Amino acid sequence: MSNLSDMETLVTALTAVPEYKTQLPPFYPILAESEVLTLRVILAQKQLLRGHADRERDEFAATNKVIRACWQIPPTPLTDIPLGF
Amino acid sequence: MLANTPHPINRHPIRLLDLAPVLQPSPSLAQEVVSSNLPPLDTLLIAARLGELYETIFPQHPEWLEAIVDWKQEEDIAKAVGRFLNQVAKLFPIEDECWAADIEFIEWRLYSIPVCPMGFDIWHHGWDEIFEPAPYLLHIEWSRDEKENPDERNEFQQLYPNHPVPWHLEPTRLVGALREICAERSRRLTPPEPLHGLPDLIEMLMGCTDNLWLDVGELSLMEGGGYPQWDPVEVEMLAEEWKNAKPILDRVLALLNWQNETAEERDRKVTAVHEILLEAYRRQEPSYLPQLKMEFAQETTCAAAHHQE
Repeated sequence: MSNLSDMETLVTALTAVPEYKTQLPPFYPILAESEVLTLRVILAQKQLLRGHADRERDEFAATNKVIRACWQIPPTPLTDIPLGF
Repeated sequence: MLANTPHPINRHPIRLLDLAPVLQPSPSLAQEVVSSNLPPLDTLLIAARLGELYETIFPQHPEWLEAIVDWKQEEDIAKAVGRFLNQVAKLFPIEDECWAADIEFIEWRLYSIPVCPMGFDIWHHGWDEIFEPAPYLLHIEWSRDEKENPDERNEFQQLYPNHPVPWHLEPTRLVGALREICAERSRRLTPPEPLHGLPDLIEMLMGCTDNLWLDVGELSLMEGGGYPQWDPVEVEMLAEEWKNAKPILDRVLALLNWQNETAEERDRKVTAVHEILLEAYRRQEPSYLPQLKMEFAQETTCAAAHHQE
């Protein structure tokens, strides 16, 4: 497979990825409304906190997997400098 | 950098490789998160774990869950974890100091019980760093293996020329006889003499007390990494074991700290231990005297042959 078709495959795959929607973690509004963050208040959100941490870890692992896969693609000259580079 | 670059920039609509708008939360969401003024997720997880431990280990103290901590300050988090460990330290010995040096280190304390076992690390420390009669007993056990280690010939005799013991005298085999002798002596003497800790010391040195606080040293545990996990049953078991270990440890420490100021005192202590070991050996091995004479004759012959070589 040529480099060009690799890039096309990558672009097609990335384009197909649905937009990432940043959501406010569910425990944030609950904890934010608490006047004082006692151990008891935080403990009550234990499941939500851990669920959110697990999701973050999974997303990080998935992102990392894509990055590692992209390392195998040879560098391709760009027509112009990407914004923010 | 972007604002000051002298090079022309091709500004184009947001495209595939522009990750910033994808990875950053929307401005409204970011504002919401910042305005909530909450600590970071890592810290909240530590707080939840700490609350969980209070709830399971100290269910009789629900008021401790009302503690208020500044969860954004690592120092305050370390102090909060330290307060929990202080409560546990009332049940059994643990490393209850908690520094704010590393949040991961603080977190580790909430998943493994940082116990401080009291056993000897005889393979980590020099034996001369331990008070007598521990080195004397260790050399009896390990420094007389002339057949396997010819270079270490007579090491025990060199170190303790005035306190020889029969070749077959093994302190661990004399524990029962020593306890009998100590029990007999304690019926005559008040208060009990420090030598009563000798059978316990022998068992501790050999790691065979069957008490986990006394059979494992701190360095061995660190090396092995077998720290117990926080669990109410585990904590209860450790507390119960510690209750059993404490009087044994007190007896052992009384012996180690007894007659320890000067070389003469230490020599007197080894002499007392030597005598009671021989007494126990005589009691356990009725054929002691003929055997001792035979061993002495053999050792003299071997030493002479070695000298001629």
